Amino acid sequence: MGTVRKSFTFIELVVTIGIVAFIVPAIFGVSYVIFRQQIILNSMMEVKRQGDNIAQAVKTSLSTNARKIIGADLNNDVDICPVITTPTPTFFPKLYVEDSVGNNYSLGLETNPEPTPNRIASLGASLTYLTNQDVSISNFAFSCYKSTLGGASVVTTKYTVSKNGQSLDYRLKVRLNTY
Amino acid sequence: MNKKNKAFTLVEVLVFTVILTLFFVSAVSITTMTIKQAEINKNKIIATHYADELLSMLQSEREFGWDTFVSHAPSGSKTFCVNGDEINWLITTCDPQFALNGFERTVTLKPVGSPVSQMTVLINVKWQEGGNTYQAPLQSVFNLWEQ
Repeated sequence: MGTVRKSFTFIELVVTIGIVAFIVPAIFGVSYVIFRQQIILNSMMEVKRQGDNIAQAVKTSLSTNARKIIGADLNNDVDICPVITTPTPTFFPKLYVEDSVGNNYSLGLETNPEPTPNRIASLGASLTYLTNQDVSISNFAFSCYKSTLGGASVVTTKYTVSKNGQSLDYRLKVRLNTY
Repeated sequence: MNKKNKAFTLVEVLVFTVILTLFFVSAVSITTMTIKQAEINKNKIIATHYADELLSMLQSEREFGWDTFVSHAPSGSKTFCVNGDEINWLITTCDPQFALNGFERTVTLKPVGSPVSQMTVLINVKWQEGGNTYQAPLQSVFNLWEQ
């Protein structure tokens, strides 16, 4: 008795492989697009989270703890904010602050070689970072002025937070309330 | 001897084609919807950022002096357009030509009491997307006695 061997024909296999070749890229394409959008969204959320965190930290630090803005020579505690009524901001990259108890600290951008991101650092008795390593900071700059002699200094801070091509610009104005 | 040819019937082929078409159509619509929704969510984050930024600007203005702040809306509700880095109290309507990266940011100040002891701040950031208008509103209250 002869045995009958049942199997797919060549055409059937070609057709099946052809269909699979259409479906698999479609599934992966959809997954890739969704995954990419999710990365963009998460990056944007992280950018906003970190940006808001910096804004809050700078605001609290300057508004409630800073007495005056001083020059780069931390031993010379002369107030450097000019008296102007209509400020035309001159921005500088680092801020040197004398706090309410007479201690000095600085706020500035720590630039790092790729792939380490640039981070905002506060240097006083110790080094503290205001941002994590997930986001990179650029265009970090300060300017300050007073509207009257002996009045409170107003510090304008600007910076850009970015991650994976997503970025947000920040600009905040803080009045030194403990001057 | 009869040779019997085995093949798919027309109905089988049609059913298969319909299933395959449904699969592709739903894949495309899911992708389109996801991209649209992600774009809306991304713009919502940016709009919230612009609203927060304006609230921070207004808080600074309020800190510089309550009387000056109140003088911008002394008796009734007043709306200002703030599409720039600074508040220009003379601009009350938004010019689409100077939109904030496609967003329109306004603030309405509503004084409470006489003399004004409280100011209701209604910030609204609007943007257009796919023929629809989206908004990110933010409401806050400033008081005379807060520091």
